[in-house]
Amino acid sequence: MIQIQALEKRYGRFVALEGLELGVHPGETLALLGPNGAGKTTTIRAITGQLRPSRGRVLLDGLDVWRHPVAAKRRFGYVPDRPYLYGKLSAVELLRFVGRLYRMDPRAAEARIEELLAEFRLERFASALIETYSHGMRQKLTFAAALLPRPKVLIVDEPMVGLDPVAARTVRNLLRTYSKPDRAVLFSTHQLELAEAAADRVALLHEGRLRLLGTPDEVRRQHDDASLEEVFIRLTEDVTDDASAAPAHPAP
Amino acid sequence: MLALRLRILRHSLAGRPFAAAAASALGLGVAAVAYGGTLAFLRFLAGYPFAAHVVEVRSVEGLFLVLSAAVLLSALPGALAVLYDSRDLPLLLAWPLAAGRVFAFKVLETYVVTALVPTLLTLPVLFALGTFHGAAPGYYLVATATALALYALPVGVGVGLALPLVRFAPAGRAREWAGAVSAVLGGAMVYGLRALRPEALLRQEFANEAALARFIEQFQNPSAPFLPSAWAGRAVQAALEHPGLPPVLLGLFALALGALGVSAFAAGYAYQAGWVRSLEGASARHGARPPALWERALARMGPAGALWVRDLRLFLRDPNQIAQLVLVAVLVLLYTTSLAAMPLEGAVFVRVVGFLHLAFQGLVIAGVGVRLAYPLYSFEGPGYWLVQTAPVGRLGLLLSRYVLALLLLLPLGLALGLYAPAVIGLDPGLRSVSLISALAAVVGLAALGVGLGAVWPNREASNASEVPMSLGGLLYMLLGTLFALGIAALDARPVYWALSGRGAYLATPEGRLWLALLGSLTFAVSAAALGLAYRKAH
Repeated sequence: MIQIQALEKRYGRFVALEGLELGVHPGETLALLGPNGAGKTTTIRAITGQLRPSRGRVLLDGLDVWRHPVAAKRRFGYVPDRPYLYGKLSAVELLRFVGRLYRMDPRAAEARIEELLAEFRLERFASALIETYSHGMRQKLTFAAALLPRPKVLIVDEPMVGLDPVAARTVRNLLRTYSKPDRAVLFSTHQLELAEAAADRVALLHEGRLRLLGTPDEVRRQHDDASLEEVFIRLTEDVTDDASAAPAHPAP
Repeated sequence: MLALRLRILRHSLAGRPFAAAAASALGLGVAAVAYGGTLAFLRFLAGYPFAAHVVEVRSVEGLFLVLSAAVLLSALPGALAVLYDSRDLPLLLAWPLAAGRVFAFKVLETYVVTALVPTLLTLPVLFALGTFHGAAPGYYLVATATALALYALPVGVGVGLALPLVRFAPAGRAREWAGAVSAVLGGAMVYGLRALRPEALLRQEFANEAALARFIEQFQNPSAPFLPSAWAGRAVQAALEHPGLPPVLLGLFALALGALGVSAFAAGYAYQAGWVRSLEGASARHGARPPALWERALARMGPAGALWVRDLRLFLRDPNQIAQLVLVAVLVLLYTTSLAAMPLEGAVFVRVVGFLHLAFQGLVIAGVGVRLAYPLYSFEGPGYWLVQTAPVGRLGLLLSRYVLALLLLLPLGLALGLYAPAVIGLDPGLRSVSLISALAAVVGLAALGVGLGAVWPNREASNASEVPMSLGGLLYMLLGTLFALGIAALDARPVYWALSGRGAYLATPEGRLWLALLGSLTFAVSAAALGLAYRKAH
């Protein structure tokens, strides 16, 4: 459903992503892990057509995001890490706007909006301006906007920031079940428990490279039954130690 | 608290040394111009000893009055932002500090935010006055104290006005109401300039001794002697004439301290008692409302219609945009009523003024375009990700912005191209030229604004007025002015044709060539700007 092929992103001499090869299959939820600055958000921005890759390409449902942007974008819903929404619109106005951008049938859109507002417990505030919402309410509304057109792929950058326990449980269930049976979910997170609970496979990015890929069970087995947290710390610290041990200016 | 603020200021200046140096140079330049201009004005007045003193006193009072009004206008939104809605207020109140001190500090911050620039503008004028009259050193202290006390009063009033607003405005809408109140007050003030009827001064017969004596007598009596600006004027004059502390300054100071103290106490009490509620949105519980008829009609036009529905809602709910619209409307009204008041006698004079209007209308549209058309891409704001990741093509987005810019500038183009020539009394031939030129200016300047705005967007701007103050905004003004001057240069020919007594210019072969040239220029500018935007916008 998502195919990332030899993806590379450079900012001058700084390499944010290097030769990333990754796929998310139909029916699968994949968690993208990594420390701060690992390249998770860069990857997600390249997938969602916000950032032009320096090399490589991203295919969504077989469509190149940069060659066929409109058709590719019709296939995914996106929740960013910082959910900035138009403060001067109400929730229902924002959702109608999104429905129209995706050319949804107005009646179907209204029914779906009602359903999503109820699911995320926003129906009582549906006509209040978004600028009066708390951070958690905005995050829930962003999820509702992403799910409105029933996309084939759901892409979420740091899903749990600011959510209350009820919403956090809704989102955890959503990440786990939305991909079944023939859709796909890709989410990035720092919360390893969430990755273990919701993802079919995890991918660990560090310094722009893929360091690990597999199901949580496979990852644990490959690392002497250590917890995902221990594997994460071990791999990211090993690489950092290796890097710091290397001379800054190698001898010719 | 003050030390903390100064440290933050020092760090922000150190972080942007070039911007800080440029701002300082600009500030010093403005101060030097104010100082030098005042000295030149006083020297000019000295040539008319019978009226010099009266005009000097009234001018200083007029300056005090205008700047006090400006402080009052910005004090209301400033007080809302600094006193009730600042992000550090909860933190400051949680620290072991007396709440009274925190709110006194916040009122002081409101004063700095709203009155510092007017104070810094006033001081060079007052210092030039002292230099011109050879005042004693004590005068400069009195002058500084007078300016500080004078502008503290409108700050106190602004803080006081903000208090009922945060209580009684609908939940979550206090900022909009403050913006609307300020826009209406600002519009009324600008239109109030018409009350001065500057054209009447042109008609004064200063050679007539009796009329002159009457004019001076009327002019030397302050129209409102109890206004603080009149007190401040008297304090300055007293300090110029006699060294020492003028009693009227003590009164002004007592009033200023009283206003600030009472407003700080009231603000602190209201905030802590939970009286403030209009900044909170928790009480705004409303279920989903059905879409309005106009919204459903626009939405049938697909994603472009959806973008227009969003734009209209965001535009009409943004107090900064409303304020800009009110000011534009007032300026157009001021422009046309001033044209109507001008004594235009003779067909030649009418045509000359008509040509000036033709040259000026493009510049006016460019000036408004930098505020309405240029920022359309920037208005997407940090929420641009929503459109960027939605199935909307680049061309669709660009054209939706362009059509919106056209719709925003078209009423202005029609007012200037159709209504203003009728007010001047131009003949039908030149009226058609005026209308066609205005429409060409609207088409080209809308494209230029959207095009350059797409290439240099500023989506992080905290308010609408910040967007034009950028490299792209300056480039737009430069290119827009050149385009407007190009149209004016083309307009010179039909005006010359009319001045030589001939009519029906547009029906002649030359008129058709003129139309083709104007059309080509407009098309070239529009296509280049929109083409550049299409290539670079993503």
